[in-house]
Amino acid sequence: MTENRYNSLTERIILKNICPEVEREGEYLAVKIDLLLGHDATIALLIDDFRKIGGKIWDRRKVIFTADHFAPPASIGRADILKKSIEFFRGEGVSDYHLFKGICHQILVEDSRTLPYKIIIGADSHTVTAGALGAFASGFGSTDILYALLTGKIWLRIPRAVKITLKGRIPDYILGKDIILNLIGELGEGGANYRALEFFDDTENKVSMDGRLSICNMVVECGAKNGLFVPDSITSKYLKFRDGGSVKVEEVLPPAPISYEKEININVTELEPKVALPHSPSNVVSVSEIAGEKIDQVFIGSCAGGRLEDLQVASRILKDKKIPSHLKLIVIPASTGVLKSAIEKYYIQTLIDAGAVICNPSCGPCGGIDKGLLGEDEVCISTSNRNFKGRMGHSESSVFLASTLTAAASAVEGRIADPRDFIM
Amino acid sequence: MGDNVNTDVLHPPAYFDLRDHRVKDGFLKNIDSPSRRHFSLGGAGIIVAGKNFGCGSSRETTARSFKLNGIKAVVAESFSRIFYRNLVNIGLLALESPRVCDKFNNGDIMVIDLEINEIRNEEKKIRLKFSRIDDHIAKIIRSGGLIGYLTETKDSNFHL
Repeated sequence: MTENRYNSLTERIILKNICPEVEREGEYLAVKIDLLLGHDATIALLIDDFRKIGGKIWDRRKVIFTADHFAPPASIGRADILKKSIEFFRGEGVSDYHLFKGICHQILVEDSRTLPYKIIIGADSHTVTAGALGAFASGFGSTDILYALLTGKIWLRIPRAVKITLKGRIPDYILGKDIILNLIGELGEGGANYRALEFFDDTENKVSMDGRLSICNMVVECGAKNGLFVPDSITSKYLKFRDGGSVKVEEVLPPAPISYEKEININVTELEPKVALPHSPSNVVSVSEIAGEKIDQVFIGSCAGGRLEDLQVASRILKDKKIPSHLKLIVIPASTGVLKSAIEKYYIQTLIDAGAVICNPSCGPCGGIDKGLLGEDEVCISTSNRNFKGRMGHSESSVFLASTLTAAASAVEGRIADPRDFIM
Repeated sequence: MGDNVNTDVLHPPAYFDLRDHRVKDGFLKNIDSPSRRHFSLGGAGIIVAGKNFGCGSSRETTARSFKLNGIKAVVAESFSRIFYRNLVNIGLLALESPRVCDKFNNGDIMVIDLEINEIRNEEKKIRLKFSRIDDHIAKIIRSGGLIGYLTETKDSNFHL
């Protein structure tokens, strides 16, 4: 068996779930899956092979299927893909699939099966989001997912681990998004290639769970295999709120000495709001360096920035304000749960009064799907996680990535703006 | 191709599709022209790239577009993890070799010697080593991909 090289939490979670009857091959271990996530786009790719092989899903209780990319379909081709996926979900007896209920990664963390120390794999690179709850969560391509659906296993190598400690006091103009943009800016796009990023929250006022989800969501943009927040009081509080009753967050194994490959300390007190310039999530500057840049669109949404906290801070900035009449402010809550709460708390109405367009929970323009693609030379500031060239529309369009505070401030100005001007 | 070439430029999301002809068309669609122009003349079956090749999305259509356009092998300084798995899972050869981008140009003939983990440009007398392929990955590649591997290894949980 593999020796514990690091004893990182990721390593211990993986080793806890090894399939004992399957021999190791090279550095790869066969690991049992606790939960598998798939959506309308990537599951569609594996259906024909699945049927050709003629197997069955290994355990339908451990599968979450959603329709969030083509939600609802904006073209005939996409409607055909969705139709195929839904037929598959139903045909395989997964009757509780989520049709247009929200982005798969938000649905996943709202599900009571998503818990610390679980092995969660998904047919989407942003499956890493769920690591905020202390699970091992990682993304894979459709054929890996096909293998997993049939066998309940995935072959993994144990990643080297990097410790990231957040210290200090989080200023009220800083969100989780600023913290992760800062980190990706430092590490670069491949800077954490194949690593596990393990976050320890030693801040005075603690990163919120929505902020942690934002952070873990983007670890993939610096190449990480997974990212997780070591479970603490915030984790327990979230689980209690979500599932009711008292949830005990147990130790996986008795404490053991850990040696990380690298340790990074981030003093959040000193952080400035950050913006990733086109066309890379690692092209990060402080907002003061880019403030004043004209924009055509603001997108508040995606699995990186469409949660209740995002809608709360956006409505705080936009309350009683009107965005410029030509500006497109597109707001897409990450799930129907988030949308309903945001309506109850009057965030949605505030945003509408400011001039926002509210769309149904889905991925939207993030990956150039629908609900706000960009034309030639158009500029968008977005709370999403990727700004690769041409991703949100025309190859000559540009996307700046930022926190929801920065995006909302920019919506007021019609230009990239510093949220500190709106809060202090 | 250089470093950090992402899946959105290799295969734009608009080309995500179940139909092969559409997936095939999306290949390298947002890459700068010189590489693409050469490719369309019916050249290489091998793509060479820098660090962190294929970063970004897990969309397997990116890897599939490689295969549909006749690519047999991809040699990069390093790969982004999901893209690496996707290439291997559909039966392509993916190898890691430092500074391979510096030593090979469009149109060069590359010989891949799996016996001694070497890639060569015979004409320019260049020999480079590539990283040893993990046993598990080698099994998958020899089976023609992950599905072949699955049917050959007769998993105890899985009944045909």
